[in-house]
Amino acid sequence: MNVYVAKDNYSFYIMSLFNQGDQLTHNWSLSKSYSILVSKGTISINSNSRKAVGIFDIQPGIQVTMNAETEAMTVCSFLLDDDLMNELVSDASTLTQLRNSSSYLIETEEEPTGRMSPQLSFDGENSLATLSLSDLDAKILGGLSI
Amino acid sequence: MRNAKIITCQDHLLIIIESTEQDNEITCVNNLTGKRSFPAQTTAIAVDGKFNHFYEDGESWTKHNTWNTPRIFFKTSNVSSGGTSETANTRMIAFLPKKREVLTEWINTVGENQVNVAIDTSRDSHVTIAEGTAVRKMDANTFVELENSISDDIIFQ
Repeated sequence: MNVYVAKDNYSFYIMSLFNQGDQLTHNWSLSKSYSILVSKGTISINSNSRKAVGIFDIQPGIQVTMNAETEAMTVCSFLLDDDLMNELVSDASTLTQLRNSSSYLIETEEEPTGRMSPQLSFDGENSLATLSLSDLDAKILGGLSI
Repeated sequence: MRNAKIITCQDHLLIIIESTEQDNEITCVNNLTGKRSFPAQTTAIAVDGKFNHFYEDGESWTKHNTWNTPRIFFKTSNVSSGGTSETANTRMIAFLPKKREVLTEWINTVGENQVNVAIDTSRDSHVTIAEGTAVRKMDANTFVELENSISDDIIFQ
């Protein structure tokens, strides 16, 4: 399993890549609903099986546990200027840097029509993992230095 | 077959194009201009399979490379970009922020009414702005269309 973060001028993305059998928990919730886009494979989100391409809404106050039934990829997208970002990124300085940075938070290489990441990997962290808000802060800070 | 769908989610408009067979075009064409460029800086992911990537070089297209997935792209505005499926199952998903100043740039591609619907949609409802199915086979090396499309790739509601 691997979790990547990325951003552009308007949006912040959390991309989770699962091998079959991997489990990821978001041990946090938000005050407004947000979407999990299942972009590849089949994944159980809070015990509801969803196949790509599917959108699953996470309601306010609900934490999330995802279990990959196949190799799978999910994307959560947020607007950088939304007040939800204050809940996702607790450190005000980090959030200010995130909003103002031109970094994509992820390695990219130039191509003739823009920039592109290397192939994202499904193999990385533990197969049973929790993405906490402090983990997210650390990933953002790491990305800002790219 | 090539399936396309534009749908709203909480904060974004998603453009989803997937091919179920080799050599289908997986880029989005502006119906008015025929251009394959993104009218605003756009982030997209490629998931599943492999795809061929092309860029416009004067009057013709040049093949940049064949890429495996998944990858994330940050496309420069108004630079033409082409793609075909190298494998049977290939999927592209573009994320457009539900911001009027951005979606206004997409009016010629998505349609004015559709842009207004996307912006006005509440975050908890998912509105399908457009969807359609077509075949658009392209040469994997030259990005020249091999046969005529059955219909427009996007059918507006």
